[in-house]
Amino acid sequence: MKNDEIRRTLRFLQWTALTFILTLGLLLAYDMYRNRAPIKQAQNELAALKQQDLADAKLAQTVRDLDYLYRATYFQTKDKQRRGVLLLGIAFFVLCGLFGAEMFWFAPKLKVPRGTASVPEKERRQLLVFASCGIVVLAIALAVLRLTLVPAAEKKTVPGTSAASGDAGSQAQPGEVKGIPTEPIDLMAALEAERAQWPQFRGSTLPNSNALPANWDFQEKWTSPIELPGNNSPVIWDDLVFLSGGDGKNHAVFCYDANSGELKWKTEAPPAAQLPEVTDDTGYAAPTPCVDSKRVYAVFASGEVLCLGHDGATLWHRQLPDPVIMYGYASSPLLMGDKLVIQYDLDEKQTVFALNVFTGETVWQTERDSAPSWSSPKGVVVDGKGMVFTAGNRLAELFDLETGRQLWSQECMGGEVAASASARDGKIFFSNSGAFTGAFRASDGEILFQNDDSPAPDVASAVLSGGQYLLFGSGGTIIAIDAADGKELYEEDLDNGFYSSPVEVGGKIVAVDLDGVLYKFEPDEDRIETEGKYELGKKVVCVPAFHKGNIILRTTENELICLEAKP
Amino acid sequence: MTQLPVLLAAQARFPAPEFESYSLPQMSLEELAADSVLWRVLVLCIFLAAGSVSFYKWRSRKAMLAYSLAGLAVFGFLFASCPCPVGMFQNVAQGIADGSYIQPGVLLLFAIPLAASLFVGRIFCGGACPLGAIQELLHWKSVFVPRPLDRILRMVPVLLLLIFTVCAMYGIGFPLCYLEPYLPVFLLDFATPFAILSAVFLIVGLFISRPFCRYVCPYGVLLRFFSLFSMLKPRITAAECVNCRLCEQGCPNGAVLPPENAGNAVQRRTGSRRLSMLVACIPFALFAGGLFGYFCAPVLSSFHRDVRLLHELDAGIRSEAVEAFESTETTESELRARVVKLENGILLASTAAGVLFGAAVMAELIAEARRRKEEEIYTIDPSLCFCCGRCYAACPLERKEKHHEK
Repeated sequence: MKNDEIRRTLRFLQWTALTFILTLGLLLAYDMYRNRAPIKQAQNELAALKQQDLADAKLAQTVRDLDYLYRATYFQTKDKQRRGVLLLGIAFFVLCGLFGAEMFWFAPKLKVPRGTASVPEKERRQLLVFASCGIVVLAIALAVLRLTLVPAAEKKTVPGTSAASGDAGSQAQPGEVKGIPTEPIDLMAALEAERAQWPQFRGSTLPNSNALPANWDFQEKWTSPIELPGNNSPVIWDDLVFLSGGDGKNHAVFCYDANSGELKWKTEAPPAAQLPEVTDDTGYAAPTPCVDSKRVYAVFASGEVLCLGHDGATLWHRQLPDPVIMYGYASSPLLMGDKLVIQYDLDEKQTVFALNVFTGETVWQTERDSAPSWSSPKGVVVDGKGMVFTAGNRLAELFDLETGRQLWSQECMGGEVAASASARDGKIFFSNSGAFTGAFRASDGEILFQNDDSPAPDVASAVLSGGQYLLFGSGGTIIAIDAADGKELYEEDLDNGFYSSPVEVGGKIVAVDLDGVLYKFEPDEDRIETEGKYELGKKVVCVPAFHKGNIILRTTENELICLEAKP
Repeated sequence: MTQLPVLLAAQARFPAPEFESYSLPQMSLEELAADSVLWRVLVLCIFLAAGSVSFYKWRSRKAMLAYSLAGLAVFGFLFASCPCPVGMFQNVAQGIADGSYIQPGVLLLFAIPLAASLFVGRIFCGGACPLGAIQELLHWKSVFVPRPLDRILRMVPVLLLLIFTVCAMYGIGFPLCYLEPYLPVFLLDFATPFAILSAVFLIVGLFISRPFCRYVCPYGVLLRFFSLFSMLKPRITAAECVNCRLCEQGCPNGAVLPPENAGNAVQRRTGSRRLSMLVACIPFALFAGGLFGYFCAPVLSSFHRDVRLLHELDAGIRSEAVEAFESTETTESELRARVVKLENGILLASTAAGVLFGAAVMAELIAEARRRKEEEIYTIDPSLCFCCGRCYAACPLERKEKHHEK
């Protein structure tokens, strides 16, 4: 056989093999497609029959027959396909062999070289052009991937957007989750009940009804060490004192007996997903816990929210998105009936969360177009309707407690906002150095007055007392402004400044300065009268708590001290 | 062929019948796996030795074709695409990263071709690799990719190697296995969409030589690097080159390099300036690569099962994974902690991989920009040569020499 004939034969065989592969491949694909639907249908029918009562002998026999038929059909189809695929594989191999045989027997003909010789120098120039194009293509590909995949990826890795969390303003259905019973909580009844307690940061939302000590000459009833540091203040329900603590490793909630100071329990939070960087001044447990008649809620700088029963049992735990914020997260949560409101102002994103107190699920979350702040939200009640006031860099806003809908906003704030507001008679008062000093009307957000002249406090929150709004500065200055028109009434200078926010209890103002001097003030028309002064001798930055005529304080030396009036 | 029926039977998965008084026997694959891998290692060694003799000693294109055909039959169809250049490096990367056990046979299959490349170049690619063999044999008419474009496209496997090493190290899985286009042919399982990918590569391979080896294969990157230091390097002819350019045009893989002309002073100055510029760009390239890797990290993380599970939990999706997770004792907090740790690890590894990629790109550009030794002959780049022997067949002097020998 001549070479040409061999080559022609090989070419013919190659084309035959190729045609065979294509034809068989198409037939197999068609066969697979054709059999898919009937097999699936038989499978479904069989599954439906098996759901019925198979005690019926006739039905059982039908199932057996159908099962046999189904399996027989399935395996026959598979066998047929297997044989076809095996043939296809053999054809592939034969085709490779035929190609190889042609190359094997017939060496390439020596031809006159095509074109001109390669010029390395020219190719090098082209290479740089291609490289530049490659970089552009790669950058575009990455950008497309990021746009299509990463928003989802970031969303999915943000801890804490729970199942119930929906769009801003959406409301989850109440119900039972994981067997935890929920019961309706009447907002006004709950707020009324907490007046006799000391349930959250700066006491109760409505005016507190605790009594002050009989006199201002104290003795230490008990002192207890606190295992973990924290700048949060103690909160009290009945005879239980709660506070939290945390360091770079552990976070925990502590419960003490208000009468004896005995540590009743300590519950550690689960390990945080990620610990943010915080300054020593802020620490990992700056937010003051909240407590109601059954549960205590603590928020940590790690973004963890922990809900415990009064016996220390963990009821639920949430991890909010990583709280990356300068200095560390410090805003205290607000308890309003069945919702735990958290002002979650981070460097990147500012959100207000309302969590279901029974389950920890997000009832609503509303993003705020603001800037990072450390202020705590303030509960406002007007005509029995609950609202939440937040102050942040740029915006003062009021939200509906039930839906999270923004009721109004005022663009009047600025700087580093750390203080929290006071509210009374449909008015909201706020003062923070570099931000704003004034009052808003709760119904529509109108600014009732604004005082730009009086120096405002930078850490401690101002307090309302009678017709005065009192600003306690960290330099030791107390300024009273008229709660009606915002005019400065008087100014008093004390020896030391205040980080601890003053509170109004029993018609008096109680404040503790940085040196641990505990004051009782009575504001007059033109001056503030110091009715009591007690030197604790230990530095205090937290807000004092009140329990049956005693005062409970947390010192910076990790001690919890209960002061009682000397007989 | 003893395993073929087993493999075919394995395809016919079907729910077991619900017997009332009979328990199905348990299958065991241990014996098969242990024996077969060591057996394959031995066969691979024999193949590499035979290929080296064919290529360096006999310098025969025909012998290399026979080598490819035998490789296709044995490693492709008989061993069902083993050793697999796609799966091997991922197995090893995962084993090294998480400290899990790597079967010695698998490690040997991974290491032997690399070790061989230090002595005889990319003989493994020539025909012992089933993917290389099928591409070698199913190549019909060569369409040449311009050399500069070829060099840039050859960076794709580097990128794939780095990305999928990170994937394997952090348990994202072996997604590159879905890009292994010839597996359906070897396993005789033409399920879509893999069959479509397979068809595309087979058709492209008819015209562009070894598209997978050149522009996808991550294991080839390692072989390319190792073969730079090969003891034996392929050369076109022992006789004096007459610069006929037939070898260059006979090599569809762009491995034959033209001689470096002396060039004039202007060219030299331009070349020096270009080289200096590229060297100066190295820190920027490393930084840009790192940045690229940094931005790639969230994309990679999003493919991890834990990250996906967390997303489903957060989105309230009741998937099977969520139901399975809820039946475990792992808490959501622990899962979040694990995901954060994982994401941090991927971020670091991806950034490092990006820096490496930047370095690889610059190395390629600098290597190409550098003037070669001024020789008047065509030479072979050992790192790009797949040892197919086409240049031997194309060289008239080689033929003449062989004719004289006969």
